[in-house]
Amino acid sequence: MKCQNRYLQAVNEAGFVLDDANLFLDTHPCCENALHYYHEAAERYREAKKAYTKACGPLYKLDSDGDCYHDWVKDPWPWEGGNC
Amino acid sequence: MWVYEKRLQYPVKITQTNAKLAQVIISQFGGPDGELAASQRYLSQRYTMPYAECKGLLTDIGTEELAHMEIVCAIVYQLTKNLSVDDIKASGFDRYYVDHTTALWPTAAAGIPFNACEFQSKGDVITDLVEDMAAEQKARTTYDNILRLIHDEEICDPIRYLRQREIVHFQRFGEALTITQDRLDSKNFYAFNPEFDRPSKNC
Repeated sequence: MKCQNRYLQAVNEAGFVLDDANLFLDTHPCCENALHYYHEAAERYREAKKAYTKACGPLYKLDSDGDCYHDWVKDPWPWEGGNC
Repeated sequence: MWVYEKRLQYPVKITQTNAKLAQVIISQFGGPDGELAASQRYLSQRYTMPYAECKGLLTDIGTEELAHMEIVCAIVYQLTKNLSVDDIKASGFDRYYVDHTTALWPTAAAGIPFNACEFQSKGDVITDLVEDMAAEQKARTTYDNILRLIHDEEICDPIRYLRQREIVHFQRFGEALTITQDRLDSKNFYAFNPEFDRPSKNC
């Protein structure tokens, strides 16, 4: 199922590529092709995460912004179908 | 979604193995007031929590408990590394070793395996937060009990850190309870359960 939120959809897609490639590399740590693929995927994930954070708020507590409120704690939470 | 960070929240460097102490400390992995129960308690309760602050706190403390479980496991691992069969026999570790060798398996010190009945996820915000406060104190007591049994600084140091975090978590859960009560009817906090009931418009 696709997320209606295109920023979250991009993070999910890039994140899944990263997770799956990482598992392959756990058992094939010397595979240069996979390493190259992983580094490209990591870059796409970083970009997608950056775009999501700017548009929708923090995915990581480290990216919580705001001078008068800790954005991290804001509703909705993922299990509530937030931003999907 | 979780991401693993490849570090311990607090460092563990134990140079002297001690299987006898490992059997006591493992209780904070799989025992009734251990870190596994703590993490699953908070991470289970958070879904039906009604207030953003409580959802955030349970998510973050639940996540930190996973890191504490890793610290406890690192301590047990280092205390049981390179044990000889003579060490295993002399320390009474043989009863654990026969089923798990030196692998980590969640159990209480007295041999009772980890069980989800060691924590509650009740679906009532006051009930759950009070359980959480009690859980932090019970874990603090367990760490105090452990600290009476050990005097080796290499082991005491990370145990004292874990004990201190129980106190901080207790404080934060107390604040979450205050936040919750501020949003309820001060004349009767139990008039309705905000995780289930919808307040009547006639009231």
